[in-house]
Amino acid sequence: MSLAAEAFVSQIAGKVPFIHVGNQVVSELGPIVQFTKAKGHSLSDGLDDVQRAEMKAYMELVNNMLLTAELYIQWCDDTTASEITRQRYSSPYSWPLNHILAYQKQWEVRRKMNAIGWAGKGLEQVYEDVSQCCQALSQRLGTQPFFFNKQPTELDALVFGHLFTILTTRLTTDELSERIKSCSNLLSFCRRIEQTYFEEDKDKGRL
Amino acid sequence: MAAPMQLYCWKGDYGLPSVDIDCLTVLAYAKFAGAPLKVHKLTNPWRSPTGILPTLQTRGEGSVSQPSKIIIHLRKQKYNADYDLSAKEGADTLAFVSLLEEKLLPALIYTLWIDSKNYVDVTRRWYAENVPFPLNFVLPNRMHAQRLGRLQLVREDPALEPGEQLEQELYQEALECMTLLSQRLGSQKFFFGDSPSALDAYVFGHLAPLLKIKLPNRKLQQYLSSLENLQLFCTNILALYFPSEIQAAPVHTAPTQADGGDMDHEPHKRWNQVMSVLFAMGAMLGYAILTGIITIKSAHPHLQESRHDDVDEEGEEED
Repeated sequence: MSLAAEAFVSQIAGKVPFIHVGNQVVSELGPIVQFTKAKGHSLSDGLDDVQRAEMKAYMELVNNMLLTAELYIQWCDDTTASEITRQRYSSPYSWPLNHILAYQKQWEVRRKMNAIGWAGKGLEQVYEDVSQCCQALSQRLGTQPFFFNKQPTELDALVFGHLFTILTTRLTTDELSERIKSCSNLLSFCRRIEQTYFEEDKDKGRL
Repeated sequence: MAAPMQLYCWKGDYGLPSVDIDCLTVLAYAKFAGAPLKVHKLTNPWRSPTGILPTLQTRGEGSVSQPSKIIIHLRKQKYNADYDLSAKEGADTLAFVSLLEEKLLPALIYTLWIDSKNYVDVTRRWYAENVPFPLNFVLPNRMHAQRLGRLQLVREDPALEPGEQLEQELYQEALECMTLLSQRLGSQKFFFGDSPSALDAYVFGHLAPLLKIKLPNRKLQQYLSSLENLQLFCTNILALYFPSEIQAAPVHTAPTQADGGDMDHEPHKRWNQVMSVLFAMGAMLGYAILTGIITIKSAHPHLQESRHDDVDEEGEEED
């Protein structure tokens, strides 16, 4: 279980999580889950077919909505992009590389948004979509401790990762984190996981 | 009564009300919700108010384009197929639609537009035959380039090309997605009980083309045919809500039966061939008579021998 708990790390700010086991390095959530499964630790074994289908579907929802919204807010919203994202992204590099890389990444993200039809959405619409997604997750969670009752699954890890990042990252406005906080069960869900699994990180990034 | 809302979509074929995935989704939802729509089946996207298909022209609020926006608008007008769903089912709908878009749609686009054999033999052919001149030279290639570009962006690989490995990856994900849908559907008639909802419309829109359009490269279709409840689901919806399309479905000669196609035209071909030979012979004869190479029998008999010599000489010269 501890190996699976370690695999709960997920930072969505342009960085990819990876685990280092022996002489193997496995990166990104999908492969990490597969890896731990191969080692005999799987969180979704106790689910039946219908539940597994729902879990996969909700994971896609999170990827589709939350991840895209995060990218949008970071790169397509001019204020956030100029004040925060570009600075953070280009910090390891020296001039002029930092400018070039930052603008290149921004251009790339905007093209992607265009391709999937998000370019026409205004910031308000994106916040609305995030709210809708959170409400859906909130509905699914209900009053249970985890999404599939007593045991945490990959979905819990994914949702925690995204929500925690949104709640703890400082942006130009607090609109996004306010929207998440309005779903009280999601907020208590995040707090609970943070306290249960990340007790040693108490000093960092408190909610 | 105010004028009904008007929906512009791609024309139907192969027993489907429309060949386009998004149009099918919207048409199905409108039927489920009982929305009175005036449907315009088009083969030219420029004739729609926004230049894109499907488009809904509303009563006084302009035009709406994407399927999700159209469905939201219909709901606002009180045509809501999801009225009876619980909040949890509504959340499930969102989740499963995301699953469809992320896992199944790329494979569908690949099999219809990027796979070379399918694109050339079926998709491009259909659009080239159905879209009016001169747009039919331009539009299919543009749509192909658009879809390839989108796939490259989404998979973050600018050099993406159709190939075995990409096909394998996409189809694997699609198979997983379809299996999950099949498990969720089980033996129910629709995803949420006895009456259809938005999720049913989306699933129908994505699976029906796969079921009905006969493609040379059938891998993805074979996956679908192994999942009987999904097949039954689609045929059920077609029979219940689009019965006229099934009756009107023309028998399509698949590209491999090109010889069969020729057989139908053969009587005309033969007739044309015979007529053209007769015409050519008549023209040659006429020319020969006019220039005096051959004359008609009414000429003097004692001149016939010299005429014969002339004809022989002519014959040698021609050789």
